[in-house]
Amino acid sequence: MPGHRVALVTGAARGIGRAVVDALAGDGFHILALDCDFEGSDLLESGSLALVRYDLSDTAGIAALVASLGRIDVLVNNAGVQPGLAIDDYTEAARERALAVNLKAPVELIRTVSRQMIKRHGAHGSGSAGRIVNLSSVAAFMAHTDLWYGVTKAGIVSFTRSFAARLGPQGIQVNAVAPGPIDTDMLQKAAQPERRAELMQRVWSRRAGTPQELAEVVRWLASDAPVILNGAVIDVTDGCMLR
Amino acid sequence: MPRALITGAGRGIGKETARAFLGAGWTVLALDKDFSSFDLKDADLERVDYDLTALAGIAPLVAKLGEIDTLVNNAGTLYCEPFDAIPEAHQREILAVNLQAPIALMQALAPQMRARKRGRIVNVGSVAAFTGHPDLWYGATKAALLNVTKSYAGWLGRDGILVNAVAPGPTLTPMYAQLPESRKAGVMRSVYSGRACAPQEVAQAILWLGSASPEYMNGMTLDVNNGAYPR
Repeated sequence: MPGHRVALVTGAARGIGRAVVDALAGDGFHILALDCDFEGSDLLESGSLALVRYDLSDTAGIAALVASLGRIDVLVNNAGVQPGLAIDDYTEAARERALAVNLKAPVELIRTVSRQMIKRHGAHGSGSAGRIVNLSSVAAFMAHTDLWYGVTKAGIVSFTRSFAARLGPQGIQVNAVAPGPIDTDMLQKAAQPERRAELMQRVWSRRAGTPQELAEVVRWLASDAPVILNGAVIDVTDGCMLR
Repeated sequence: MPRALITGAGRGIGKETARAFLGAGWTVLALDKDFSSFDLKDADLERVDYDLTALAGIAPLVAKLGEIDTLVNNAGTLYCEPFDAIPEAHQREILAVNLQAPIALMQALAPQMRARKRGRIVNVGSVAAFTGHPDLWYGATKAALLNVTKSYAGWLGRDGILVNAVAPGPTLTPMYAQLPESRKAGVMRSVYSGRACAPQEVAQAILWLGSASPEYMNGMTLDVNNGAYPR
């Protein structure tokens, strides 16, 4: 895909990731749409969109995967799982999967993708070498009923700063978005009903955000945000979490 | 054509914000008390010569300005004087310009924005809100402005009005030049890029919040500080 900026979007088949694909495609990006399951997704392969079927819980294979994908200018770490289990009901498998997909996989992706960004840009090139956007959640800042989900989303805030500090001097922006309730399968299926109702009580507009609204924030960070904006976490919560 | 009222537009971040809105096709009402270093010229630009310490005149002023789609509360003042030797006049001026005037402007604009069920307000805070500041009252007013941002978002959000803030870190403006060298050195040690922010960069963030950011983003503070203070 020469001449085009390329964005790798994880968890692209549905929900927020699916909306991010449209938003970035609208900005002229070619898209590498990664997901472990495209069942029921309306994403279609085209000259400017490639489907990448990969289960991110296989963190050991990520370096080889990235090497096979070619040029990546923007990485959107969107894939995430929310088992929606109370702490005493958590199985080891559910915990390991949440840690792998939500935390270890994005770290491994940033590590490997940033390496090619820096190589392409040159160690002392001016301007932007690449942009990385991580999807955190208000869960990072509140007592969350799904303990491991909250832990991994807080971890994303932490590594967003770590990588911004490490990669910023080399021209890479690493920022994060922390959404409140967004109208997705995850909100409908995973979030416990009483927690959802309690959250909605605190939202000023009394509605869940749309995936498109969140995708616009991701698009801005991936395309337009000033280069000085680095290590930031943008809250998209409509009042449900004021920090 | 949408209309933006930008305070403190005579220089620094305010001037660059005026430039950014003009570039995006807006009509800009540029408010300041001093236009001596203001060099913008545009058919869609109108100067509003006003000293925001005159709080009582703000409501009548707003009544004269007509429809405002976006308010940018950027005007701010700073003195770097020792904690125990801040003249009362300076304290009063900082409170008026940095806090009471932005509130008076939001208050005066709220009825027309509510009637239209639309409007955006962007308040310019500072990283000083989180870190404290050698100018005690500057830090205090910036922290208060971020708090007020949430209160007004809560109050006006139901009517489709967005009230958000930016909190810039060290930015190359005339105000920055006033800072003690020790404070400049401190922030330079912590920023990822090793440089201060350009006012144009803060202006880009303000333009987005003031024109295009999604409506679900309300009552929030966007840190434009490049690691000067990761909170």
